[in-house]
Formats: sequence, C-alpha cells, structure tokens
Amino acid sequence: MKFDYKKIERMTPAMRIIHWANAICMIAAIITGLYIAHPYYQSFIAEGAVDKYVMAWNRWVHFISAIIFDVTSIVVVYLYFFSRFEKPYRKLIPNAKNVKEFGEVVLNLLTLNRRKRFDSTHSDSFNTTYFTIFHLLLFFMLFTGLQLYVHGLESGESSIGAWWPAFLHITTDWTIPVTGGTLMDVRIAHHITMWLIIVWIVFHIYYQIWRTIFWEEGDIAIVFGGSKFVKDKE
Amino acid sequence: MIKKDIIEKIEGEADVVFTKKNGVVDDIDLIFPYSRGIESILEGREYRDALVIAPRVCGICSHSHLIAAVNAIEDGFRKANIAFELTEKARCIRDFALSCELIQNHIKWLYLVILPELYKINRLEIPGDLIKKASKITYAITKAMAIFTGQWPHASYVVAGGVSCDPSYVEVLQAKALVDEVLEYMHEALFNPKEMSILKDMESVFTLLEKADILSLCMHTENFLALGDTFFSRSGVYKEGILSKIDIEKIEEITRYESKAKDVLYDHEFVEVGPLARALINQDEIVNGIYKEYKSGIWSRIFARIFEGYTLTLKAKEILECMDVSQQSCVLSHHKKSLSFSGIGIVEAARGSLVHEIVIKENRIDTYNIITPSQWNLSRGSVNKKGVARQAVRGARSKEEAYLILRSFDLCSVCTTQ
Amino acid sequence: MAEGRDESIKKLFDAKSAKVNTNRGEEYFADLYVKCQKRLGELKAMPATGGGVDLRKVLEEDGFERRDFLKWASATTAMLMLPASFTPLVAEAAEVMNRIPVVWIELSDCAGNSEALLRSDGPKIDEIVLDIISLEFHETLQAAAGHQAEKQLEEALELFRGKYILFVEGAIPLGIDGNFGTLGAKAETFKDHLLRLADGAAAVVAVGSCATYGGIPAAAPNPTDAVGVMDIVKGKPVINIPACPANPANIVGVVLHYALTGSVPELDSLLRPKFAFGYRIHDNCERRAHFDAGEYVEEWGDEGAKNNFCLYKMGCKGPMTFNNCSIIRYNESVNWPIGVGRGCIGCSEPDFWDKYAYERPMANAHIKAPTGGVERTVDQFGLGLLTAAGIGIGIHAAASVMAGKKNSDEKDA
Ligand code: HEM
Ligand code: SF4
Repeated sequence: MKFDYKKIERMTPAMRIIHWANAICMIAAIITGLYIAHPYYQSFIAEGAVDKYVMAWNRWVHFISAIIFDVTSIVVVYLYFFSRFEKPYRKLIPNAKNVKEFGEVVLNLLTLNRRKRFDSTHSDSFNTTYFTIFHLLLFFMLFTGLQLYVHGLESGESSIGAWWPAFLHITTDWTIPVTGGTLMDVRIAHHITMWLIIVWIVFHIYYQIWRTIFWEEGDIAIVFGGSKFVKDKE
Repeated sequence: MIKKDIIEKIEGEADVVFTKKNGVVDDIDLIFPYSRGIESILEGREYRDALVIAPRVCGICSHSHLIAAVNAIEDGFRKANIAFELTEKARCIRDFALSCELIQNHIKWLYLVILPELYKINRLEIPGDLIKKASKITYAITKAMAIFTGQWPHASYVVAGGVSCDPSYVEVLQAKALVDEVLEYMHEALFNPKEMSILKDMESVFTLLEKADILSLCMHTENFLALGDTFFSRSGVYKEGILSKIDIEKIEEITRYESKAKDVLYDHEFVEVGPLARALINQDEIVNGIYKEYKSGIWSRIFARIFEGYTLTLKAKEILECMDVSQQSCVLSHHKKSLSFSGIGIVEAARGSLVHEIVIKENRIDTYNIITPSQWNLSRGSVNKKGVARQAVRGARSKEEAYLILRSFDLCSVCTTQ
Repeated sequence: MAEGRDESIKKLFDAKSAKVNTNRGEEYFADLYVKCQKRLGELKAMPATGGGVDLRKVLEEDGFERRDFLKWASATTAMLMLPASFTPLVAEAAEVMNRIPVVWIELSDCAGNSEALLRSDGPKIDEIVLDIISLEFHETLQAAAGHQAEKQLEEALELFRGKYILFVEGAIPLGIDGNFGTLGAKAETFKDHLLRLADGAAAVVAVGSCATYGGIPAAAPNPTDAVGVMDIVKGKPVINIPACPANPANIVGVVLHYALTGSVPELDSLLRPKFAFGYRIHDNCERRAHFDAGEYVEEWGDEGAKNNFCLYKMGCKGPMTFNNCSIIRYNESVNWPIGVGRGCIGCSEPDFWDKYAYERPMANAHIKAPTGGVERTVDQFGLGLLTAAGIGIGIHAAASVMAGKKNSDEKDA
C-alpha cells in the first residue's frame, strides 16, 4: 500500500495561542499553587521581610495565570458555539453519529490501533469530549479559586472598583455549600481538582504522542503548525 | 419520717434531690443535666489535637485540662523512650499560668459563691460590691496569664516539649506588675503577711460562719488524696491523720448507669481532693492548725482554698522573678514517624487532682480517659458507702446549709460529666 | 439539617454579597443618626429594668474618668463600623443599655463563654457595661437557685414578653429525643426550653461556637447529636457570635447596636455580625508580613518562632477564618493565640473541630475518601490518582509497542 498525504488544518492560530497560554499558565499555576498550599522551600535569607516577598510573588504569579485562564476560558466558550472554523459543541450532542464515533475512537485506543473506523480528518467526538472535561475542570478551578481570592477584598473595594468583589461574590459564593459548607472545603476541592487536572494533562500528552506514532498522521504537529496530514488512499 | 424533697438547681446546671429525715438532711442525690461525650470525640483523632480539644472540657479550669493533656503525651513520649528535658523557662511559664488559673478561681469562688451564700444563710443583705471585688483580681490575674497563654479561657499555647510562646523580658515585667497588684489587694483584704492573720473579707467569712453556727459543719471520713507532685503540691494519701504514699494502680473508676457521671475511688474508698487535701498532704502548718480544730468542716475547707490562692500568688511572683527568657521555648521537634504509646497526665487543678489517661496507636488516640476533681468529691457510692459530699451534707439543718456544704467543695458539673 | 442547608444556600444567593460595606454615603448615615437619636430618646424615657444601676455612677466609683469612657466609646464606634460622628450616640446608648432586658441561658456547654465574659475578661469598660445590662436571668450567675430561679425566669419572660434579648450559650443535644440534656423539675429538654424562651424574645443571640454551630459536642462523631441555635429557632432574628470562647467585645457590640438602632446589626450568610466577622484573621494579622515574605515557623520554638514568623506551616487557619481577634484580641486586649505563637484553629467557622482545628497546614489535612475508610491528605490522594493513571498509560504504551512490533514483523515478512 502506498499513501499520499494530504495536509489539513486542525487548529487556527487563535486556538494555538490559547493552547500555549493555557499550558504555560497551567505549569505556573501548579508550581505556585503547590507552594501556596505548603510552602516547600524556605527563604531564610538574612533580609527584611519586605524585600523578600516569596509567598506574595507566588500568589501574584498564581493569580495572574488565573486571570489569563479567565480570559482564555471566556474565549473558549465563545468558540465552542460561534467558531467559524469548527463548532465543538456539535460534537458533544449525544446523537447516534457522535455516540458511534466516540465508541469507535475508544475502541481504536483499546485495540491498540488494530481497528480504526472513523474519520480522523477533524476533531472527533471523543477528542472534543476530552477537551470539554478539561474546560469544565478549569471552570471549577476558576470558581473555587476566585472564591478563595475574593475574601482578600472584603472591604468591598478593589483597585478596579467595587464591582469586581461584588461580582465575584455573586458568581462564586455557591462553591461553599457545594463543596461542603466551609471555606476549608472550597480550598480542599480546589486542591483536589488540581490533581485531576494534572492527571488529565498526563493522559493528554500521552494520547497525542501515541496518535502521532500509531496513526502516522503527524498529529503532534497540530499544536505547533496548526495542521496535520491525513493519509489519502490511492 | 423520710421526705424526699424536690429537686433544686445548683451551680447553674446540676440538680440536687434532698432526702430529709426528722427535719435534717439525710442524703442527697446529684443529677447532671447533660454530658457531651468529649472522650469519644477525642478518640480517633491525632494525638496532637488533644491539646486544642482538652481545654474545652471545661471553661472554668480549661488550662488544667490543657496541662493534663500535655503531661499525658509527654509521659507517653518518655515511656516510648523519647528523651527530652523541658527547659526551665517552659516549665516556669506553664506553672505560672496554672497558678493564675487557680488564683482567679479561688478568689471568684470566695466572692461569688461563698460570701453571698453566707449572707443568705444569715438572712443578711448581700453587699453589692462583691462582684466588683472579684473582678478586680480576676481581671489582673487572667491578664497576666494571657500575656503567656494568648487567651483565657481555652488557651492552647502548650505543645509537647514546651510552650509556643516566646515572651520578652518586658512582657515578664508586665505580668509581674499585674501579680503585684493582686498581692497588694490580698494583703489589704485577705491576709496580713506579717502576723499571718486573716483580714477583712476572710474575717467576714469566719464571723458569718460563726454566727450561723456552722464553722465545723460538714464532716466526712477524713480521707484525703492528692495525686500531683508539682511546684506547689506533693502527692500522698492522708487518712485519719496518717500520711502515706500513693499508688496510681489503686484508682478505680466505676460507671453507674443511673448517672451521667462516673464514680472514682482510691483503694476502695471515697476521698476528698482539692486545696484542703493538698495542704494537709503538704503538711502546711497553718492549714494543719485549723484542721486540728475544725476537721474537715466548712471553715477548714474555705480557709485552705483561699490560703492556697494567696500562697500561689507569692509563688507566681517568684516564678516570674527567676524566669530566664533566653532559654528555648520548646525542645522537641515534631516526630515524623508514627508513634504508639500510652501515658498518664496528672495535674492539681483548682478543685483537686485531675487525671488524663491516653493510649495512642500510630499517632491516633485509641482511648482517652478523664478523671476530674469533682468526680472524686461528688462520687455517689452506695447506700452503705457514700461519696464524700454525700457524707458531708448529712445532718445539715436546712437546704441552705446543705447547699453551702456542697459549694464548699467548689463543684463543677461541667467537668463531672464532660 | 437538610433544611438548614437548603436555607443557607438560598441565603447565599439572596445575599447582597458578603462584603462589608463600611461606607454607605452621607445620606444613609445622616438618616441613621436621626433614627438612633429618636430611639435613644425613647429608651431614656423608659425606666431601667435591672436593679436601676447607673453607668455613670458605676464608672465613677471605679475610678474611670469621663475621658476614658469617651475613648472607649470611640473605639467601640469604630468597631461597629460607624462614622466617628456617632461616638456621642454610642456613649449614650451604653448609658441606656440597662433598659434592654436580657435573658441568658446555658445549654450543653463548658461555661467558658460566661466565664470569659461575665467574670473575668473584656476591656474594663466593656465589662462594666455588661454588668449594667439588665440581666433578668442568668443561670450560672444567678444568686437564686432552684425553684426560686425558675420563678424569677417565668416572671421575667412574662413581664418582658416580646422585648427581651435571649442569649444562649451551649449546643442543643437532640440525641435520644433530647434526653441528653434536661432542665428543671419538669425535665424539659434543652430544645423545648430554648423554643419556649425564644418564643417571647425580640431576638436570639447565640454566644460561642457551641450555640452557633453545635461546637465541640457536635464534633465527629457527635455523640449527642448536638446542633446550634439557628438549626432550632426559626422565624426569629438570630445573631451568631461564634468563637471559642466568644469575644466579650463583640457581645457588647451586639447589645449596643441593638440599643442604638433597635435592630440587629448587618449579618453575613452565617448570621454573624459583619462588624466583627467581616474580615479574616489573616487580613489583619500582625505576622502577615512574614506570610507574604515566605518566612514561616517550621518547628515549635525554632529560630522562626523566636522572630515571630508566620504560623501558616504550623497549621494556622487564619486565612480561612472570619473574626476580629487580630484587632481586638482577648483578655483586655493583652494578647491572642497567634500572639503567643500558636496558630489560629478557626474557632469561628462551622465544623471547625473537624475541618480546621488540626495542627498542620491544610495541604496535610486528612480527608476521607467518599467511600469512607481510607484517610489521606489531598496530595496523597492526588499522587495516588496520578500513579494509577501512570500505570494505566504504561500498560497501554507497552502493549501498543508490542502490537506495533508484531505489525511491522508481519509487514517485513
Ligand atoms: C487551573 C489551575 C489552578 C491550579 C492548578 C491551582 C492550584 C492551586 C493550589 C494547589 C492551591 C493551594 C490550595 C491549598 O491550599 O490546598 C491554590 C490556592 C489558591 N488558588 Fe489556585 N489553582 C488554579 C487556578 C486558580 C484560579 C483560576 C484562581 C483564581 C484566582 C486561583 C486562586 C487561588 C487562591 C486564591 C488560592 C489560595 C491562596 C491563598 O489564600 O493564599 N487558583 N491553587
Ligand atoms: S499567622 Fe496565620 S493569620 Fe497570621 S499571617 Fe500567618 S497564616 Fe495568616
């Protein structure tokens, strides 16, 4: 058998920017989040407290990545429904076609690529579901994180106005009863969800590499150049 | 004629049922309104958590429970071959805070419990300044204590191996000034240090008791116990004038289903614990002199308690004077590996000997047992062998007298049922 | 309980937000000022209900000058988050506080709050002000005992029906039909007692964490099935003043606020007055600079402890605890737990015995798996999860490689 390869576009530049912004922020958020949870290195330098600011910088980085997540998440939600490129929400509707495709992709993974009966020229419904899980986890992170954050603004003022803390209260106060009734539960939920995200990432990277190797379609290139190659049977 | 009298309330919470025979009180029964099950709450938690939970057994003697808990843990460490020696400073701070708790307790008891009760018995009007007098001392002394403990009640500044606070010399001076204030007041109102005679308020107690003819009311089998060897007390049993050594094994706790409180006995006998017991076992000359005359009567008990408050104030001052703030606060670092041990912590609390017994399995509390001072004094016993307080009220001519007797033990229903 | 949860969820959404509104604009305060003046005038016209003690006289006797009193009044005004112009009104309110009847009952507790409050603690003037509030009935402090006391209580309830404030200390045990706690000759359960007294009260104030959330008796396994006042009393204004023990200054604050305005202070979603529970301990902690600097005490008594470093790594729960002890402190403001190098245990938060009061950072908190049984820290859970994922991936990868080899072998052949 001989193949011809056809180049197809899978990620627009905007999507790639979002991907890498998320990736970098995620690493930063995890590193700093773990420090906030349990300061694992000690700054015992003979300097005044004011000059060090180790925790403060960690929190700053953590919050900045959080804010970037805020923005990317909103863009992602928009793209899910209104993207002119691919509207991912269509792949989430559990209709017969999507369910079948989802099953086929899972089978492909389980049969170690022995069986591949779906069209890999576009984002399949398994892939889309998997990414949706990530965005939902990230949203949960945002809500719990912003709930933890807003209590530092209890005066009701912030550098960008009083609307910001008020808005955060309205949007995130529900996390307290949902996670168990106290701020501590929110914190624990925030922390646990971080681990879920890490597990998500590990599988995500593995799956991309696995696809690249076994499908032989250069999937890993999608995230860099935006396109991959699909075998064109002659 | 036997008459069961109606239930009356005492110390806010406990109920007393009187049985009268021929017009005098023959027996009482104490009913405790509730128990919170603190021991079962402690079980299963990490042992360090006992240091924040134990003080909450009782808001009145929270610090004693804290010290008992830490003593139990440290005793367990030693038995598990973890060698350490508390610094003099840590010991001083703990002892100082304990003295403060006892002092304020004794003084409050005098002004808020005993004196009003005595005025009532004599059908005299209760002077309006008693609360003020009590708060004057307790303000100063709890403040001195909070300098080291952070707050009172429910301080939790003690950790295994020492204390968490690190006071500066200035703070020690601040505390000393407060203790001096208290001493000055005591020298004005309670005791004359030069002649060792009683003054104003103590005199009132004496004359009121005399007037009501109850100076030596309230006797029992003359059996006393102190378990703690501390900076102000020695352990021992004092039975009918004979002093002997204690043996922890002889303590026996009996659950009685009809009551929320457990009985405690020493060597199959009910014993009195508290300041009078401590003074007798310490062979304090002054208290002994009074005991010879009034036996285990009310006056001996009141005197011993207030006098203990006074001597502790002197001790507290001494402690502050010799405290070296440059020493380590805590000598033990946290044990990462999991520990199993058991230990006993004994404290001489305001009302007497307090025991915390713990068994730790892999850092978790397996069992936690608390024996409180009021449990010793208020044990019920049986018809033939009655608890100390039950013996003591026998023969009281009125309910008021019986109350006074009960309150002379400074009872605490919270501790009794936990 | 379920009902309480629902209600609190509803409240979270109705709440205008948990923020502490310190500045509502001049118009609002001008209005309030007039309202307060009117209210104080009314109170003044009423006879004192207690023994008729006069604050001015008491203060004089105790050697306080008017100046001390005004100083206290201005500090209290600030604590109540009112503008400084309200100081004279607060002073006046303190003087007419004895017109407000108070009934104080103790349920399943350790007497620590009464102890903290009425016998020993509190800024001096706070204490005196408390002395003169007309405590119509207080079970521990009551000179009268037994039937006499019960009669006194009944009289007070009748006389001040609809007007008195009911202070409750201690939790309500509901186990074995409430028979863990009974009162009086009729063996009334704590729950019935509370409901009966709350019925005629203008407002119910839960003092301390036991009365607020059930506190220590309600800690796992909650042997007596204890709950707080707000779980029992419905349809009445309930004000919670949690903490273990409750801070006397906050109790005075609530009574003063009531005297001043005739209404309960603004409350958060847990019914705690915002003037006291609006900020976290951490926001005003004296060790905060060390927190930000990353300077932590690592062991009791270490070099960091000597330098008053932050107690976060020793398990301080200040970052998740709302209370004002970092400002007003305890025992006449002499000190507070963090001041003596022991972390905050979160004693003003719900379920704090089970969720806050352990001496390690929250990352090391032991949490139970939803299935029960296993207890691990969050990170142990997380690493477990990660390992499981890693093993799964490893197997899949190895199998894929094998399968791939076979494929190419076949091709080669
Ligand atoms: C999605 C990536 C994120 C990860 C992996 C992450 C991770 C963490 C972790 C592990 C902690 C420590 C929790 C603990 O103490 O147990 C933490 C704390 C925190 N996170 Fe995040 N977080 C993320 C996103 C966010 C977002 C979006 C916000 C929103 C502003 C946020 C705000 C916070 C805050 C405020 C704290 C508590 C810090 C403090 O109170 O000092 N995080 N985060
Ligand atoms: S000691 Fe506690 S409250 Fe204070 S700054 Fe550190 S973490 Fe925050």
